[in-house]
Amino acid sequence: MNSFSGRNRNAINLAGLALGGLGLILGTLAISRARIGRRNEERRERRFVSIAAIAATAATGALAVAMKRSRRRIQAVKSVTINRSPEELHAALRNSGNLPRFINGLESVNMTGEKEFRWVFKSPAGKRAEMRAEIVEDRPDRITVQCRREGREFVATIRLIPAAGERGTVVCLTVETTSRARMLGQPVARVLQKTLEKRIEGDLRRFEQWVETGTVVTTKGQPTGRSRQGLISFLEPAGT
Amino acid sequence: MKANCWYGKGDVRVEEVPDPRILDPKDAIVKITSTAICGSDLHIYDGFIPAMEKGDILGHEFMGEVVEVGSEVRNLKIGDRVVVPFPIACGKCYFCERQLYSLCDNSNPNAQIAETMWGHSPAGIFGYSHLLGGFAGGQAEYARVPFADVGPIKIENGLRDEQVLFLSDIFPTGYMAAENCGIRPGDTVAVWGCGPVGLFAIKSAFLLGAERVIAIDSVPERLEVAREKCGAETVNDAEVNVLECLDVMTGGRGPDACIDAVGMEAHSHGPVGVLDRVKQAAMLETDRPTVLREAIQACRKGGTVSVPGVYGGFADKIPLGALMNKGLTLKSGQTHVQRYLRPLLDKIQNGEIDPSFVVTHELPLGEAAKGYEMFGNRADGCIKVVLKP
Repeated sequence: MNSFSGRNRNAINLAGLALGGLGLILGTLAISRARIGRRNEERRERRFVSIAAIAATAATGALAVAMKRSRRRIQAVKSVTINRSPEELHAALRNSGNLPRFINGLESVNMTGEKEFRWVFKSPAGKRAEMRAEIVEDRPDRITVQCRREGREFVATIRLIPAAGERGTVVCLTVETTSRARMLGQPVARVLQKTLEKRIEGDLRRFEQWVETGTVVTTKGQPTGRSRQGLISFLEPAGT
Repeated sequence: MKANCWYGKGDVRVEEVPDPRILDPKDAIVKITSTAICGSDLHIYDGFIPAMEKGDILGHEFMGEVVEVGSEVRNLKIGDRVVVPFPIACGKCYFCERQLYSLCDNSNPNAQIAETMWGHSPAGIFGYSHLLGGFAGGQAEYARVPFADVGPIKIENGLRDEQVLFLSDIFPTGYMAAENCGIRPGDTVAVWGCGPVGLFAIKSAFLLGAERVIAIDSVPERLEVAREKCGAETVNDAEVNVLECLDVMTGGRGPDACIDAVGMEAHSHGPVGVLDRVKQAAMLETDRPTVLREAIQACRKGGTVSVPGVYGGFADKIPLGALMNKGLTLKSGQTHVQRYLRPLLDKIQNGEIDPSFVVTHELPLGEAAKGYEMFGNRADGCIKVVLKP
């Protein structure tokens, strides 16, 4: 589900943009006046230049605020029912060494503090990227992790809810982040949200596989007749 | 090793591919001694199953000898002779714990594709498209078997391959189809399709207490087997109107249960059949549900329609009015083979049934393409082709 920032945020954005626009206009006028006044009155020139500098600074600041506030909040929610108790799942999630087994692309997790970690992701092309993660909430029925990467923030909350009829545990994962896609409109944000949903859906499914069976099922590395010798598939590394 | 690979509609070839290897500690490698072409393989051969990729190794009915086991396999050892069920099941999830093995939550690595089509993903299946996992199949010299502790059943007596091979699919599939009918003594069961699954459904219906079984097909040789080897009364749907015929044969009441052992490529002799083919060709529907329509229409009030035949997507003009107003029960599903392995093996050992009666042709693996063509055309009285690697 996509979340708008609400009327207040919109008002702040509009105010920021208006202030920025006003600042730019004033700055432009002031510079123009300064050029005119250069021939006649040195004192007026200095005053106009000062006004121009202040107005330009205000404009830049206001625009920056508006741009920052114009990020669109994106939220993805997925859940899966796992045939294990909340206690078992909580323990599995809190063991950070387990995470690369089911989080797509996560290569390694290193502890940097009591509740702080450095996550290293590896793309299919082999490019690595780091992300700082911090557990900001840790309860038997809820874990919240805040992650930062290149100025972008993700907040992931996992809730562990006993399923009806003692049929395992409902694991509900909510991931929130922001995107500069606000300026590009709702359709682009919707695509980003769907992409995020697909990603966390896959992570949840692999988590279920891993905690229920101790493995994550794969076909990578099996033979095929795709090339005559089947070498392309055969040489693919086995999955986790 | 040699393996039978799919390259397109009507194009299967035995190619040299690398041997399979253990990819997970729960895997086993089986050296295949016998494998078979299933009627549902023909849906792939005919180009009706989506998410196939060129080079995919086909086959989900196979048995053989264990030649390698992963470090976490406990129930099997090298040298064991095993039959491998076609659905891959983890044995640990909600569904496996309730013996709904073909609905396993954890064995399809491509579950997202299946969920897009069907809402939820069933289990992975050997050699049956990337929709169902993309696992290499068993029409090969060797196969990798994931979750090896959960699926394969050991054959520890002198039974021949042909007697036990069909535990991998068609015997349990026919049996589950009959079991889904909730047969009571005195019941009459109608079975559409006298291919291998239909024949096993007939046999199983009798084993479960049916008094009469009426078999429907248009291939005389198959009707003869249904009559002579399975004890069914037969109806040739190329010669008579099936609905009228069943009405008369059941005293106007209709069969207590109807089994659709045909599925998505049903043949129809009327204008509706032509319309279905046009729609299928134009991608307006994926399946031709002629038999399902007839089964719902023919079934007695309050009866059961059981569907072991494979359907893949969407179909038109299903008589839901008849289904609802006659109070019918509709049951279906891929077979939970693991649930039936032991009891059906016992029936074979006890001599209650010898599944080898369906075998009409035995070919070397290298002639798999010939087997598909023959089976697809129902040529030479072909009912079941067994391939020997």
